[in-house]
Amino acid sequence: MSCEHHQSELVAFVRGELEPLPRQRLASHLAHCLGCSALARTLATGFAAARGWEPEVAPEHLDRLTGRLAPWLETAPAPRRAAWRWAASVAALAFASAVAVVLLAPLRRPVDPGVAALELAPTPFVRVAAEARWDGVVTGGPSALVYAMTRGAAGFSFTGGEGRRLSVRTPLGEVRAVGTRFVVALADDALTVAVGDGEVRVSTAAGEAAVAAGVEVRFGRDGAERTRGTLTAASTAILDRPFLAHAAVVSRIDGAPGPGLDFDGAPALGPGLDLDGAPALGPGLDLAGSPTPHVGLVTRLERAEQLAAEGQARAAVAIYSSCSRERGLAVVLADLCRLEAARLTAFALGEPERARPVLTRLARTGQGETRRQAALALCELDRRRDPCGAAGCLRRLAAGEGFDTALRREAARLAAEWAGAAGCDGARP
Amino acid sequence: MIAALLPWARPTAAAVVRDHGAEVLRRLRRIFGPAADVDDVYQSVFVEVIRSLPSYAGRAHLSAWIRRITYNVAYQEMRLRYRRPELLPLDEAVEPTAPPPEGALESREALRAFHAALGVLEPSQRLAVVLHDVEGLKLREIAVATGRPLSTVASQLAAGRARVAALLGGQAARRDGWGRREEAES
Repeated sequence: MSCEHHQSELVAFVRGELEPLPRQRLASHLAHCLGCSALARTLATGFAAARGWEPEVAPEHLDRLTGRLAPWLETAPAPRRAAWRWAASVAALAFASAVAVVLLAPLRRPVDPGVAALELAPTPFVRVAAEARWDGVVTGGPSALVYAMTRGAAGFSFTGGEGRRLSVRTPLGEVRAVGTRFVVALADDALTVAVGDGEVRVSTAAGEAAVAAGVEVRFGRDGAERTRGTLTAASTAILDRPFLAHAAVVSRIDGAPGPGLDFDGAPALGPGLDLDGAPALGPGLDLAGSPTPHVGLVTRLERAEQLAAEGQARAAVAIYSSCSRERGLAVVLADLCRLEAARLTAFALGEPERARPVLTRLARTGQGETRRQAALALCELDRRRDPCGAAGCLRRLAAGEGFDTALRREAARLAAEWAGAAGCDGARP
Repeated sequence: MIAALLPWARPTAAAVVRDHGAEVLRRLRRIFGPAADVDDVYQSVFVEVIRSLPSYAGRAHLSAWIRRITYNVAYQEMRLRYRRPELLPLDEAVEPTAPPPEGALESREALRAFHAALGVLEPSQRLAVVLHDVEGLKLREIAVATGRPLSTVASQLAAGRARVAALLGGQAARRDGWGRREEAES
């Protein structure tokens, strides 16, 4: 077996995660391969250093960073308490001094170069919504910014006050931030402005219009109002995105769209991690150039995930099954592929009896997480057949040997939950 | 202190920044490495925290909730830097604010090399390696946090690790003058 193959397992080896057989095989290789043993030492040192590093934080640096947050802290909505109505109105007033401008429209052509990069102000008052992509030029200084947009999508958060000004100029009109949060969508023949909080003023060839909170207005190419209504889901989703540092503006302005990255289709970013908007991995970004022979594995598994989400479980199962049969693949990964295939077979294809033997084997012989998930999936299968019996399955897991504390605790919690939901006698074994 | 334990008490934005600022900054440095400037990322995290605070339901521990936002913003930043590395250089020129433990040169260089290698990974692979190998999250926790199947997370981790090994292997080969396939006679 080549050094390159061994190198793909070295990290797991130095972190003590390799199963006994491959570990023994790799250890005997390292005993007589200078290159791999040196790399193993480098990896061990690197990973240990990264894991053990506790960076120091200088109080004055932290104070400086906190100072930069002052505009947001000053306008932060009040926390919810009993008098929530009062607090909500205070929060609304506070929010009225913060402005978010989001421009969205499909990006249909390459972006113009020649973008002016701005230095970050000490307390930057403009921030950019995630997934912003647009064409245009930024001009201005520390207290006033003008975004001249020709096309595309971007989001900005603007904190007003102290003479600061933010203006977004489009071919179809100019949007001036007055103290609000709003969305602007610029397409070939329409400019749409949707306001989350507060109010904005829009100047077009047809005159000036005010747009209030909760209202979405579409202007035509002649600047006249075409429609006026409540916020659409697309605008609301954009407003919910996080707003990033102003530096993001610079980097995103002329960033060519990544493969498969579709702004319109990108879901809103919630408080949790949301990786669904990630660009699809192109052939050059996947495992090409890596020492592992399993080229394209990540891409294939992501495809399987996508197919499963779209309800095409059988196609997803086929990918997971082929992954599990891939020669030379780490046992853990192959087992995880078997697990996904079995779960989809049981719960999405409705063929539990085909999946049960696989899940049973994984629950007995799988490693760590695979074993845990397989055991829980088996209990879920039992639950579908007999809700009260399933609680018993979980209780056996909770009391069982060989499972870690986390699984036992989770099983006990689920047992009580399932028994309660099904109206079973909690004492039934 | 007692107020923080009361279920109906909600922390103010200023208190959240004061109580969690240092931990967030420390975490971001661990994620991006000693040579990366994370000040803007820090700011992005807290702007998001402040904005989302009214919707914080108190079901998760506040620090866990902030940690998720930190990972979320860090991932966005990774994507940003991956797409436009020339505009937002990572691991360049900025002096680390603190040396690695015990100031060991080897450890410090290893840390720099490790993060430099991470910097060229595809973002989802980089996130998987960082969350698992630096932050110590289990695969299952990463799968829950990212909403992805375990197999995807595991494959991203494996691919990311293999790439790190290849990159560091290349460096080590140049440094030590050995060929990658060279094997000594036992």
